[in-house]
Amino acid sequence: MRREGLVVSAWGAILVLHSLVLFAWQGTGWSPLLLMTAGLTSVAAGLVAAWRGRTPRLVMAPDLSPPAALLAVGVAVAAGAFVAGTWLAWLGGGIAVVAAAGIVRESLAMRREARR
Amino acid sequence: MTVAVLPGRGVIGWAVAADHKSVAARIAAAAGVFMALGGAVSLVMRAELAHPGMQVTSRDTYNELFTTHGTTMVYLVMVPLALALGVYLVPLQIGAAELVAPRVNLFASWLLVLGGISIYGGFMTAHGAARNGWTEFLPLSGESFSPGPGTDMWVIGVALADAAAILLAATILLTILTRRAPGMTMLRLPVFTWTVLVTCLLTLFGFPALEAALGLIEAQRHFGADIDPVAYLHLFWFFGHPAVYVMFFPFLGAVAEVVQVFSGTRLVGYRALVLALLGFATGSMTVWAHHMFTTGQVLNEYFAITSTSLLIFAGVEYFDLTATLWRGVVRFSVPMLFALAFLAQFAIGGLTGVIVASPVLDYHLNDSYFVVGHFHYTLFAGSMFALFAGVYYWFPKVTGRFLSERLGRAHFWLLVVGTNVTFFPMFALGYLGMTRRVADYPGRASLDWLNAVSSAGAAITGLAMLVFVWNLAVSLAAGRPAGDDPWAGHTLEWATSSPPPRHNFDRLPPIRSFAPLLDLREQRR
Amino acid sequence: MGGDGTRQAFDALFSAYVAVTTTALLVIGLALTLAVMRGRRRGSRPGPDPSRLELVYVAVLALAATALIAVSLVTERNVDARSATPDVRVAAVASQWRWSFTTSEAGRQTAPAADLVVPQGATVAITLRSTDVIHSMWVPEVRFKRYAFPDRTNQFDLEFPDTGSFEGLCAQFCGLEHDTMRFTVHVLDRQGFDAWLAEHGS
Repeated sequence: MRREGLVVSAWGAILVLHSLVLFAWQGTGWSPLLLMTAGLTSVAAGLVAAWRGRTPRLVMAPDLSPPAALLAVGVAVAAGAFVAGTWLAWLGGGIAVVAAAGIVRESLAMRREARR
Repeated sequence: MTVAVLPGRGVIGWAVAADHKSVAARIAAAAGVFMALGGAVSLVMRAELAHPGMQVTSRDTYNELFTTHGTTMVYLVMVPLALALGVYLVPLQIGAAELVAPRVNLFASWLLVLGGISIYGGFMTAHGAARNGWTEFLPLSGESFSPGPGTDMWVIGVALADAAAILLAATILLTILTRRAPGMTMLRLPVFTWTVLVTCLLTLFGFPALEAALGLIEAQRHFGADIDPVAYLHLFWFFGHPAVYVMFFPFLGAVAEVVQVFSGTRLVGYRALVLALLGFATGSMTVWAHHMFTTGQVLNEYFAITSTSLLIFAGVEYFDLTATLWRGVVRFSVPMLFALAFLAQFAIGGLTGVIVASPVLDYHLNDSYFVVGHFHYTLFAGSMFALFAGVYYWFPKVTGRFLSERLGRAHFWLLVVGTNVTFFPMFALGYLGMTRRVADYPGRASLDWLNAVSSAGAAITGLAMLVFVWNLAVSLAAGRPAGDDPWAGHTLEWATSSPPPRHNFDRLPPIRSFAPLLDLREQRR
Repeated sequence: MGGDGTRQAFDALFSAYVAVTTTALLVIGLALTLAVMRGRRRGSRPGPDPSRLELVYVAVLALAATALIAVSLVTERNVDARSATPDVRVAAVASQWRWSFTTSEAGRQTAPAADLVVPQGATVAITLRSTDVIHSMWVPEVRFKRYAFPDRTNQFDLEFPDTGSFEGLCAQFCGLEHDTMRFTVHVLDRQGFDAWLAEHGS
């Protein structure tokens, strides 16, 4: 990735411009603040994307990943704490930790395969 | 080049498959189920509204229904389908074997499904499901006004679905930026991929505001925080307006592809269109407070200017698509029928949008059925027609079979009649003083017959959708087989088998423009 | 002059907008039809250079947008303007699921009532708030609505050109009985209003 990321930054820069116009017109407030936040974030994201360098030639892609699906379950269960109490946060967190461990295991296995 | 790590399939395999085509299929299947539910709900709503008086439901139930309908169609159907099109097609269109971070996409697809389950789970609680609209404004969505876990389950479900969208947008965008095949510069990206790119920008930088807004609801409900209602409105609509363009751009991209292929010519004005898309996308982020014109709390003038200006970008897109039709010879297959209907009907939606972009006009029309008509013309008579254009066009690629042309035509004509009869009367209803989100309305002559007509249209629309489901079923089972390139396509997805293999391409044709296969065909002549 | 005839302003602007958008829709329909029909005749001429035509077209669009914006902003300035010396003042309060109006003029003030009574043609300065959730006060007859917030007031002027009884409703979903949260605006002629105020005010 080289200059393509700058498309994102250019898009964000226009948002920053809009926020400045709004700020000049009406002063501080939610409107210029929201635009400035989105604008600066996208400018930064585009710069990061542009500077990060080339993608490796060989990319490992897993066919199946049960831990990734399990992580979604863990997150959803943990979110249920807002409804049914803190114990769900612990349960969901536990599931998520197990899932995360599985993801790490998968990543290590893929890295080993790539080196072979 | 990618290497498969774990083999195997079966039901479990289908549930945990991380390749982008399976992820897209999973999202589309879930969205299809949610669309059936959300559509059924709308039929009950229109049955209730067909005549004044409460004949079908209670007020409470009606409020749950319209909330569920909007929530489903936005968070669980149209946004996911928009992104799912990208998940499936972007790697194929740019000559890549897979999306960036497949496990993130797998994770996101399940977040979406679980989010939908949480939202619908609200119906099974003692106090019932959320019932304050897909917007759930504070203070109404607060603990004292909306007791019970249904609203919390709604908040959780929407938060999960929103997170899923953000994650998918991130991986798709990174894929477009970093995984293009050699020779595919940014200005050789197919038009559809460009529409997905801007969709990803809107999702990435607009959708997080919804998480903040949802956080405000939970802060009120669980910590008793005193939340400024205008703060919620700003955060919600800062998400909400980009959201409607997320539910538009990829479908516009599908129409652009169909128009090119079924006119037999490449797009006229490609660079203008790309610029217009980028401009439209920046514009989409700057207009949100037109939803707040009647609050008296925002700078109406600024948002009137940005909102009205959008017509310039839309106009460029219309020009280029019309010019492409002009230059080519149109084949009236079902995808082209849906594409043409989209162009005509979205224009009605867009132009009524220009009307409500004027604050004084919005002072009367806001929160009335005029707006309901406006956004159903853009989202249903517009985007969903464009979605069907894409479905009929790409179905052979995904499944290796054609959808039935005969059933497709029946589906198309029923849907054209149905949507216009359902939604056109709503402009009059709103002008005459019918507000939205009402279980009932006073029995006044003009409101009566307009509502009755609209409800009749809804029945026809429902029938049209049943014809489509039937078409899907028979075509999946025994549709006419399709080869690699049944339509004489222009873009790379047609340079591989139908359906494509796991790694998408065995070999790629030379890429010298945004229509590589058309180039090859013209070269051979 | 404040609250510049909201109905008149809306009707004029709406007519202009409908004319413009209907024309645009017809042009789009015509262009699409011609474009689709054209290719069916073999050997048609290539047509004008699209990029030049597109530039002209964009200029036309920009002009149209500017004109629409200009006329909208001018109209809005007039409609939003508030008089320093309104004839009648009304305090409007929205609650789940009823309205309450307190009318005052020249030192006389009524008790809160479920319906709104105003004199014909006068400038009515309304202060609107809510006691609970967000509501919206809509009177279709004068083509105007405003949100009612629980934590701040909205102030605006209205003028009612015709006598009669007109419906008012809540236009922002506010809970279970939102659709029945209605009121009536009784517009009386000057004498009638004076008499009413004499009877109900103190």
